[in-house]
Amino acid sequence: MGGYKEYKIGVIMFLVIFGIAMFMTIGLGGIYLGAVPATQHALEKQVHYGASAWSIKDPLMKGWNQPKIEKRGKMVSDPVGVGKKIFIREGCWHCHTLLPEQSADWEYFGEPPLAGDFVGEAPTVVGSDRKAPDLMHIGSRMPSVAWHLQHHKDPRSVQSKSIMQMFDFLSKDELRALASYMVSLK
Amino acid sequence: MTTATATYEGIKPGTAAKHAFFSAVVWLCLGASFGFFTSLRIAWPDLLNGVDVMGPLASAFAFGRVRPMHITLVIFGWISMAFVAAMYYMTPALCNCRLWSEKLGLWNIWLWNVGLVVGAITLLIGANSGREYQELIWPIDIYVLTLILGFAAVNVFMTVLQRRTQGIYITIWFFMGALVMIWMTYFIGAIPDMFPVTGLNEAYIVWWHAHNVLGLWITPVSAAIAYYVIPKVTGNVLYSHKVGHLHFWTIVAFYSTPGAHHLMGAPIPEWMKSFASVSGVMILIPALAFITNMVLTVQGKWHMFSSNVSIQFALTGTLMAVPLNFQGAFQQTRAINWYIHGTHWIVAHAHFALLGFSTFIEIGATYYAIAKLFQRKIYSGTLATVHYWLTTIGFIGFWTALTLAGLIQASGKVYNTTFIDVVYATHPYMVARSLFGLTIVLGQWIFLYNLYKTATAGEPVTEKDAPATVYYT
Repeated sequence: MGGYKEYKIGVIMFLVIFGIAMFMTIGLGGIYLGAVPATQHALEKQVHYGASAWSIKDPLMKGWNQPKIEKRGKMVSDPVGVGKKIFIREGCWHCHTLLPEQSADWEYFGEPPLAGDFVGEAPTVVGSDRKAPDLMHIGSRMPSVAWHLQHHKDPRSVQSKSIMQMFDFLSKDELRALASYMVSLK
Repeated sequence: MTTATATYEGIKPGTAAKHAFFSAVVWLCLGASFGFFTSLRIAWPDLLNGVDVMGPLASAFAFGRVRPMHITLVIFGWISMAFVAAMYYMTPALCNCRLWSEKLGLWNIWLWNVGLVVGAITLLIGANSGREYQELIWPIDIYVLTLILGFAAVNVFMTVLQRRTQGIYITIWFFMGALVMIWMTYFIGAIPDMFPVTGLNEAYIVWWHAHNVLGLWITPVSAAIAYYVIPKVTGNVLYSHKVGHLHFWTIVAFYSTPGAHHLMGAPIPEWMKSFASVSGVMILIPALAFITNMVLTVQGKWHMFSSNVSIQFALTGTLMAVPLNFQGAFQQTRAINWYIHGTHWIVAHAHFALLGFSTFIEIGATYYAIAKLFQRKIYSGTLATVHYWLTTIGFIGFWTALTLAGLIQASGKVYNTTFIDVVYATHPYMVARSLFGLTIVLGQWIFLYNLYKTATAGEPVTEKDAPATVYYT
């Protein structure tokens, strides 16, 4: 076994340096971001979905554990919340961002969000890759549910140059829920 | 000196490494093929529509479900498993002892394979955590932390503890350090899956994790492998141990902090962005220390670039690190990030790191280790050369096409162009990307075939420690 004294010093140095790096980034950053108060917009989002990550209560990401609303005397999952779940499940966020950047984006796709707009939302799916338009304010740009239904079923029927794939394999209810979510993004 | 000989009963030393290398290469072929498939869906979105056979599979093979599978299989199937394969081969070699437990190693690799199959199925049915580079759901995260990363770390650390050498070579520091760092990184990345972490904190942890999987696992371990393969195969002594120290400590200090530079456009506090951006540029210090050390180690042996396949791949990967790190260090500064963020430029850069740099070095190590482990010559030098050129030409074309497409998107973003026109303008580049992607994929299947033939029909080498040039015919 043996070993030199340097190894002990090395291990301590490693833990100290790595610890400082973690504290600076995860620790301080986390405390700062965690202290941001929720805005009105964030509270509205929490009513519809809030935490919508994968859960044992909803293994197939169908939206079974989303907040319930009353519809024709029955309690059903909020379609906006179900839509968000489908947005995560189908990986829409691999191409669409939910975050207009500081550039001409702000004129084209609308205002950037405030830090408090995300409180209570998980996953935030802000996205990283912009193969497709930003959706943060899609509900204001395109408020028609019918348009979204048609667009998801057959994108090229409403935009001939679109490279979005067809989501014709989604059920009618799922397409409706996804359209409700799109329209809710004001 | 105590050695745990009991664990070797019935298992030949090196078995775990053999299984690991072959499994990793199979995942490389599958992962790359799925990547090619997603690229086709971008170039021709209607490609598979109306094909009856797709019927029930249409949802499983939708773009949004295959893309995370491509990422997961390539990063956690190929790259990470090739790393552990290299650890299982190089740690005993450098510690002058046997692997602590071949049995644990075999369990590790096969549980890993099972985990990847289960993970791929969950992603295909849509069970996705919604966090890029961390798409697996939390039960699988726990599996990864314990049975995959945990087992690998225990085996490597115990091997080092029973070493029969006085010093510890630089490769081993990196292996041990990186195993600790990836465990922490993966654990922190999985926290939002298990606990109610929401809002910007969640978004920040996603990108902190995504950055550090590269910075604290893929970059240092790739370098560690080069630190072994290049001196070993050329027969030269490592140029400088001290520069190696500089590399190691600056990786630990600077590479764990720039996570926030992925969120330059998000409403996170300015100090976080500035801190991330400055430490992001500091990444150049470990990168240049590594490249300098490697290039000076090869002094006098550059001719091996054309005579030895391991050196050819490992040096290409090392030299790719020059443009890669300059691109990476400066593209995350605010002015450049503002221009190219969210475009195909970034996709090109990600492939630069994972394919151009990391994969090339691992392929070099795989050729070397497979020849050594089976004590056979590589089956076909011609196929190895074909593999090299298909991968290299494929990658350069792929990167160029995506970078150009990214610049088109960036100018479209900045000059307020109608969005769909930009999508349309990048179409030819997407087609080019698919073609070059196909080139890369073909190369990897040839690689797998060549390794399989090496293991079964390669010419045996009798000398126990023959010079490495023997293995390249």
